[in-house]
Amino acid sequence: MWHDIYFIIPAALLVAAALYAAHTRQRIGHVPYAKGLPGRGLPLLDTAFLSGGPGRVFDTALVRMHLGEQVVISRSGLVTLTGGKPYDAVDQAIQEAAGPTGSRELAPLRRMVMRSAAVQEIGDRLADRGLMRRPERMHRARTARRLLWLAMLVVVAFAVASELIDGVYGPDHPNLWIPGFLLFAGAVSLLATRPVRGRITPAGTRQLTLMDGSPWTPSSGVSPKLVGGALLGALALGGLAAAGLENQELEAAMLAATAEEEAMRQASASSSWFASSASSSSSSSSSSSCSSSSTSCSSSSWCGSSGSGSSGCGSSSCSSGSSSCGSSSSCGSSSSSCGSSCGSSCGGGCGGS
Amino acid sequence: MTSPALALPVRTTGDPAAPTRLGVGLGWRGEIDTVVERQPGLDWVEVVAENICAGHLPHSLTVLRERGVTVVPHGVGLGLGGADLPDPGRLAQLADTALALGSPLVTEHLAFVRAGGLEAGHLLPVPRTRDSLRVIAENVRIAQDQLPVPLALENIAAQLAWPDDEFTEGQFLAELVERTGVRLLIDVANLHTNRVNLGVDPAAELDRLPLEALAYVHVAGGTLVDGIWHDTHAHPVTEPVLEVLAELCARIAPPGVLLERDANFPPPSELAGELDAIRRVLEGSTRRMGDLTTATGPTGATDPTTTAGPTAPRDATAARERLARRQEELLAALVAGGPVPPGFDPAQVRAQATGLAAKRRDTTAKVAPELPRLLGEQYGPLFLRYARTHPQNGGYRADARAFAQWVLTDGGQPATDHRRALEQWLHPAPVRPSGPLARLRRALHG
Repeated sequence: MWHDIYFIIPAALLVAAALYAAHTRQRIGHVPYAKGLPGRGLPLLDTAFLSGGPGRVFDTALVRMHLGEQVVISRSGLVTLTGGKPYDAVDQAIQEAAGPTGSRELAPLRRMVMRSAAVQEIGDRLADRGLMRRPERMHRARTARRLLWLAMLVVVAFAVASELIDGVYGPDHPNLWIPGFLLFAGAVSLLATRPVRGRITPAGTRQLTLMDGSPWTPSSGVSPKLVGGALLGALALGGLAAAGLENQELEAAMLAATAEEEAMRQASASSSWFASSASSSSSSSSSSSCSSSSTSCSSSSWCGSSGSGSSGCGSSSCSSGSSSCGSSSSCGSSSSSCGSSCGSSCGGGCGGS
Repeated sequence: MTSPALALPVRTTGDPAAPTRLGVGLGWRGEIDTVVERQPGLDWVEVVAENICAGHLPHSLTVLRERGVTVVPHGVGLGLGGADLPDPGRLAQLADTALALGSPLVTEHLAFVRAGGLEAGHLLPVPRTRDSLRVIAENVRIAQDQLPVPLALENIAAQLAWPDDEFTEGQFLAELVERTGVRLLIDVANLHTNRVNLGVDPAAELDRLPLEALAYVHVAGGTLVDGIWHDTHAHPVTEPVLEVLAELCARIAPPGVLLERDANFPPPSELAGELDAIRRVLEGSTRRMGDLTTATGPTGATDPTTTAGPTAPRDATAARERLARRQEELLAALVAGGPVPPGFDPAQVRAQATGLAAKRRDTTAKVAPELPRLLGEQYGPLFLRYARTHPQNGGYRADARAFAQWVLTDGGQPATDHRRALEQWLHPAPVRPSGPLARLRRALHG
């Protein structure tokens, strides 16, 4: 019977893993500050976050600034500040991300602002009131389930080993009902901690349904002086395609930035399982853009759109898309044919006094 | 909506000397292309010629041209006031740009921008003597020969004066018009700048200029700091500048007026407001509209004495050498820490040197925005330290790289703080394939 006692080890592992999985699963649904649904009174950028994630928040805030003439966006997607006080923390984050020159390409600006504390806080706020699930908790729950699988594998390994050893050398066979029971218990635990799909809770989905129907004009999150509240509402709820900006160049530039972000996220997601262990060697290209804002870079957890469960906000997606002196100047794209001559007085040259 | 004081922007046919009617325009810059496109009632735009390439015109310019908006290339790097013969490569590029844009004319400055292998990065005044007049007139004539459309020259904003000027800038330009038939681009902001900084009376200068050769007018904003007017093109247009414009409009109805804004861009409606202010000045002077019909431009006659005579080439070469030496001395004092040439006001030279370094710092920041982003507040002081010992002799991109290199070796604390990022910027790593297999391979091969 001594070999049955050995099953204490996998049993203990399994129980620990099951408890951990149950705990992490429970944490996902934890709502510290439950409130009633705000209905159509949800602030503009909260709506954007709930409906489309941090990227949607940036898009909405940028269009809001554009409507307020606080930014100019060129055809090539260069965002230039034109002054004016920030309306809220997200505006402030956009202004800060533009840097000392007050101008930055749309795609890197979008990535930086998505990771800024101002935008991340919106997600935390929504999670606190039970409308969204925290990605890091969902991630932890997934890891816990993986541990549970691993513990079950250990159970099987022990069963096989005891069968082999005792079957050959010993007179009495081990009791297979012990590992059998353990595996059953593990399976039940796995079923009980089935991963939830998506970042939006049922309450969040209900909240979004409340805003459907007639066009929504946000009552909070838009300066009363600004016209275009309905447009911003549609943008926050449905994204660029649904909002239908009249300014086609702006829409084209913003869609291009979104596509770039999407592509980078997919590239990083395809290798994410290996990323954590090998990031020290592979993330060298990202260090430059992360170094200036390392705090926001490492702490951000809300990335991508809220619908997909992907966690593409890791180190790999931090790498800045622009190369050393790529498209920053007005003739960057044409460097092949007459770059040298353009370079001589690029970016205003002598100004033209 | 065309300004009442200006005729429709339709090119006059028949009389080649008649100036092209342009209207009210705005300087096209890549950052604000969408704003320029949306300005109500804009008749024409001007582009900095060196910032665009004939083979790859920005889509925005194509859109504007399809709408019937005239585009005029404005060169800043030809340096027709220099001692060297105009660079054939630069001239050919300007010509190509003008053809690609279907422009009715191109413009440049009465200035020198390089000498003795050094780049000023800015427009510097030429010595206005008879000696240099011959050289510059020849440069202008060479440029005119190579360009497919008429050329106009602009007066500049000077922060320093040469000690032995025989002409005012207005007189010098008038001489050039007479000798070469070149047209004029009058920058009223520069006239105001020279009034504040050098005490030159704009009205008197306007009287000396042959305004019948006027192609168009520049208007730009600036700011007064410690009694010195900085023609920044980054501040709103002020009343004194508009007064000079009114002064000019009282003499002749300009064929075109253009607002320049190069940096620190305001909200689009503010730019529209400045254009409206310009239109109001033009409206206030409608009584002189008739002038345009009689303005037939310069005759284009050239001074025979400068082209004839067997001794002329040798004299011309000697004049070129003299001009080259003087400009080299001044530029060395301005950007390479050389001694102030005799006769110059040391304070003026110092102020100009500071201005050049600051402009170089800002332009480099624009061309390589990663550098100020990386170095933060240290960028400015570091760059000025670098600029004191490293005069610019190439383009801004090369300058930015040289600066980054310098920070790595001589930058002190900032270099150690940002070493890795700077090296990354200088030598961007090739795009590496991602994925676990590629990483494993890299790990194995070290």
